[in-house]
Amino acid sequence: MLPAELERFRQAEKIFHAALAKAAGEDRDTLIRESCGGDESLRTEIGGLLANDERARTAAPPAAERLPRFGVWQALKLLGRGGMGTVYLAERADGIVQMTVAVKVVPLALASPAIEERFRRERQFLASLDHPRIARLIDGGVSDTGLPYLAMEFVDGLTIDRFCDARQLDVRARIALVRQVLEALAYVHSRHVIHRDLKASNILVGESGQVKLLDFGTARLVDATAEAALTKTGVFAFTPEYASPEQVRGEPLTFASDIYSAGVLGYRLLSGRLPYRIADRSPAAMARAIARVQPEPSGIEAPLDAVLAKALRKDPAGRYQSATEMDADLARYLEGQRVRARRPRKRFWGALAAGLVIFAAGILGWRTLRAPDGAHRLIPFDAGVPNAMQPALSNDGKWLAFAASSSGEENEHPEIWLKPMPNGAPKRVTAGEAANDEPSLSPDGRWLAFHFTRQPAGIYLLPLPPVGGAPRLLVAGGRVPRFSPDGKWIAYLNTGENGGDIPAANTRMLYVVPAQGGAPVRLAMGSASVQGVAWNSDSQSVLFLAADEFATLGLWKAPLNGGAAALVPEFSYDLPLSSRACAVTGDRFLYMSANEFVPSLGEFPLKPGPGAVRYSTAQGRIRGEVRAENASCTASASGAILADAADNRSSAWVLPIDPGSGHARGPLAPLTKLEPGVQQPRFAPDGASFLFPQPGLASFLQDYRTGSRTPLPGATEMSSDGLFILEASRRIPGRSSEIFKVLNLKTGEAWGQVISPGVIWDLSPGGQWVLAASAALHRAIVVWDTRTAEHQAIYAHPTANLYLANFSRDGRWALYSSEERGRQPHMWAAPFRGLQSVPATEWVDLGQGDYPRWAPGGGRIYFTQVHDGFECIFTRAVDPATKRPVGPVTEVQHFHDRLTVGGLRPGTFRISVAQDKLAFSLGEPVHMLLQWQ
Amino acid sequence: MQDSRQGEITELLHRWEEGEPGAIEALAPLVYDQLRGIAEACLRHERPEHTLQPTAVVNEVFVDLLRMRRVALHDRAHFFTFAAQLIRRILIDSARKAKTEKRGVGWQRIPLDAELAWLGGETAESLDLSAALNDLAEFDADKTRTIELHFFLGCTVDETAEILEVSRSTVERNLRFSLAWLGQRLRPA
Repeated sequence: MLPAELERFRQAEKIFHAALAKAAGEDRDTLIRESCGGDESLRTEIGGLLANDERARTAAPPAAERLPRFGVWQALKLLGRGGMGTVYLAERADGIVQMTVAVKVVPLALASPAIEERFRRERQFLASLDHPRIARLIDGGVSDTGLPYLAMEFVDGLTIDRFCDARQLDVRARIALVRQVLEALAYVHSRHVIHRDLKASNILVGESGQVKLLDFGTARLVDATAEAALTKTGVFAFTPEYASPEQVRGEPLTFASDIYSAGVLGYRLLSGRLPYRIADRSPAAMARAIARVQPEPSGIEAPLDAVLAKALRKDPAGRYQSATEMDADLARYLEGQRVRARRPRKRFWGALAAGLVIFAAGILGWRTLRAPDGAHRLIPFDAGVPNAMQPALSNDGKWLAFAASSSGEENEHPEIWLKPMPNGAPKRVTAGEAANDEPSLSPDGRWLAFHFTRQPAGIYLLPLPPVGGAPRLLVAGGRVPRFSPDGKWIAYLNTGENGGDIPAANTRMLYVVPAQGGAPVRLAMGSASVQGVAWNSDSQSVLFLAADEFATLGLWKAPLNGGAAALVPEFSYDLPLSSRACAVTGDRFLYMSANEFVPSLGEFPLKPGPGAVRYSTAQGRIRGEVRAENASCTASASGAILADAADNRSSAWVLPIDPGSGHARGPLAPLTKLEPGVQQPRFAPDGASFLFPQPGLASFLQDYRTGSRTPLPGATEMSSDGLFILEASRRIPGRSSEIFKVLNLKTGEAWGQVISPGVIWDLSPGGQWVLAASAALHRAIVVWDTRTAEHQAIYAHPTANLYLANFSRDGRWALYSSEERGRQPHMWAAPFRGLQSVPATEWVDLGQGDYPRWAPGGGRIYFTQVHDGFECIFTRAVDPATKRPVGPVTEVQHFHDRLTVGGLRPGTFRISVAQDKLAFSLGEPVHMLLQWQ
Repeated sequence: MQDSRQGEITELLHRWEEGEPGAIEALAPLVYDQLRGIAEACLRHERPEHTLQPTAVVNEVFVDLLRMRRVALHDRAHFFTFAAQLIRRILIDSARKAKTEKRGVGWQRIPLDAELAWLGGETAESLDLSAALNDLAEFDADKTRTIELHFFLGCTVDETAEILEVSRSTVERNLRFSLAWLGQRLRPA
């Protein structure tokens, strides 16, 4: 864009609007004449704009289509469009020489600076390249309309892959084409240019079989400053299918990257497919596959396969060091000589093939895959105690330890149980004031290592019956202990709870400590976070999963006696990130993962060989997540395998409160049973009845004392005076707006008006107003008049999102929370004056907290704050008139362990406050053991 | 919406918010598929009572995320301009498809606002319209965004103004000039 053109555009716009302000006729003409100051073409343009404006207003019938012109080139037809350019077939319009060219123009409006830069660079590269295998640059410039364009030699041909198919070329002819590409590439590299986007669609083959390389838009000079050339290219700057591993990792590129792309091209032309079987073409999955998954054997002749494998090495140093070298190897093949490339070890391919079964299955959907013999699956295992989790088998398979917390009791914490396998009765072996969990048994079943949460938290050792004794602290701050199969060591994770050399929050580092006590040793590796621990069966090394900087999980092996942990290269599965390493039995490494919340158990043969891969998912309706660091499976030496799964459910609870102090005056009691989904009652202020909104709108009103129910289909909210109900009456076709009906519970009177799309927060006492999220901008709360559908954003924040607005019982105040990146949620009270907006200067700051709710009296609020890592309910007194806080923040109900606010889907939690009680929904994971059968 | 996909979108939105490069690009195909799915369902007369209202679709996606509070989108405007571009791409892709397949799949039936429809009623012309919009963006990207939000996404003038954080009259003026300019570009007077 030339500054002059932009200036002209702005001038035209200005005059256009000025002219419109005048009535058509003399006045307007005069204004235009004067404004244009003798610039006739500008005047013509204004005339055209105004005529079009008129036409737009009268919706003139369409006229004939016209193709654009670029300098001397008149477009004849559109050849194609891509993210990086629109290409027209064009001919010289001045008639001096008859010539057709391909004109490439900038397309994407929003990427324009980057694209322009790309064009400029491409033009520069093309101008410096002169080779019969590279499409020539003929002209370039900026069109009258300000579009940069390139006129290139028009190659009337097909892309190389289509050419091969159309001509049904044999292998030798295809290799000859690849060699032409390599020849062009060698020339490009000799000019110190990396193409960076070599792919079939950038290579045309003319009628005579002549290859032409196109598109140097992403090319770079090798000696261009590395930073400028490499940063911020992003995943989409290249074509994923052909991108090299270093390219997707954003690492510095060398000519070897083009060699890799040439390898992909050759693979595709010779085998008919891409080197990776990728069903999920999301950029992330592609990037992962390219960076990690080894190419499949191409199925073509061994020497060619070896050539391609060499070009496709993950490590650039392992590839051909030049296009000429690769070309020469292909020439050797064509001449019947021995190629220089060596096929990788055979067993490597074997293991990979096995790995790819799982990899492919992983992306096609875990659940479709069954073990080859169909025999293996995960089925529920009855431990004899409900809510059993974290199974740990002794190495001899005779004992099972597990943690369990029984359901239905307040603040119950897990304890550890021991069960003789297979049929003995479980016995509880720990008792404490806080959670005892994450058990591990010594191979002889005589010692229990476990995690205890009360200070000093850490790993404890307990001698089991018949010897028995008191537990003693082995390591402070450790978690997830795992006895080695020989019983001499305990591996564990340090999460930094008690300090230690933890590089970043939430990372888990791997340590070992002698089981008899001694100094812990950190097993060397980078800063990656360890996900699960599994001892190798020889007790000499520990296996674990950890994610790399690409968020791809790899299998690591850490030797016990010094030496750095190293990736197991054959493990090239694309596992969900939540996967955990959990056990080794024999030569099989076991891990747990979850896909679409269905727990799955996978195994990987540590000694490559055929037929050892099995895979299993949970059967039936088990839905669970593998996300806690203690999610696990366990195996005995003889191959018995147990795993665990958790399912999130919720139930509604009632907490009696003292209206004066705001504090609990009795224990938390369940209102509903534990069920899937969220159960969120809305109590009337007197606490005598509550509305129970149900998904599917089978809502009802229930008398708290008698339990009798009145169906109220569609009811979603109850007003803070308990007298009105908001019902979703029907959806407006084609809009996400809904018509809401307000129902007077006493009189049965009902009225309704459209409420904008968005989230409804609350209905006012008297039923006239609704507070809702703003449809267009979420940093505001909107009020709607339910009788007139008038609405107005009344509370707006410049930077924070506003949530969960609710009315005080008298309807004169609103309460809501704000949330901003990197900050704790904050609470505000503000006067409510109908459709009148209230500036932030009038808001009353109520401090940090979330999910705030008025108490019916208006002199107190209830809200949540995170305490000890758990979201807990707090209260604070406010002045009934000014709503300014008058007392300290005090805790009403602490939640830890099992019942959590956080166990729910965020945003679904809310506190309902009646005069004498609070009601809310709590999430609870339900645990169970699963058996590999 | 499927849990997994919802989860993925949520995750990407998070990463996008955290400023991770490439997250928005990764997000595009997911949201695009979803939008297109709904659009196509409408056009296949599966929901005959529906005309395509992309704002409704985009809102559905957004409000779902909002309800879950998995996102604290500080820049809803960003999401909407992004969605508007996607909708435009859907229309253009479909126009191209209809053109190559030489059959009148009902994409012309997309209720492009009558004001915009006169610019490109035929499929071939909607491709040119897209090019012209790109041209327009070269001069003033906000004008193209205004067109995308108002005509492709179906935002009202007020909503468009809110999203772009400009006044209502600015939106009106921009729309009027842009239409005339596009008209001039596509079928000069």
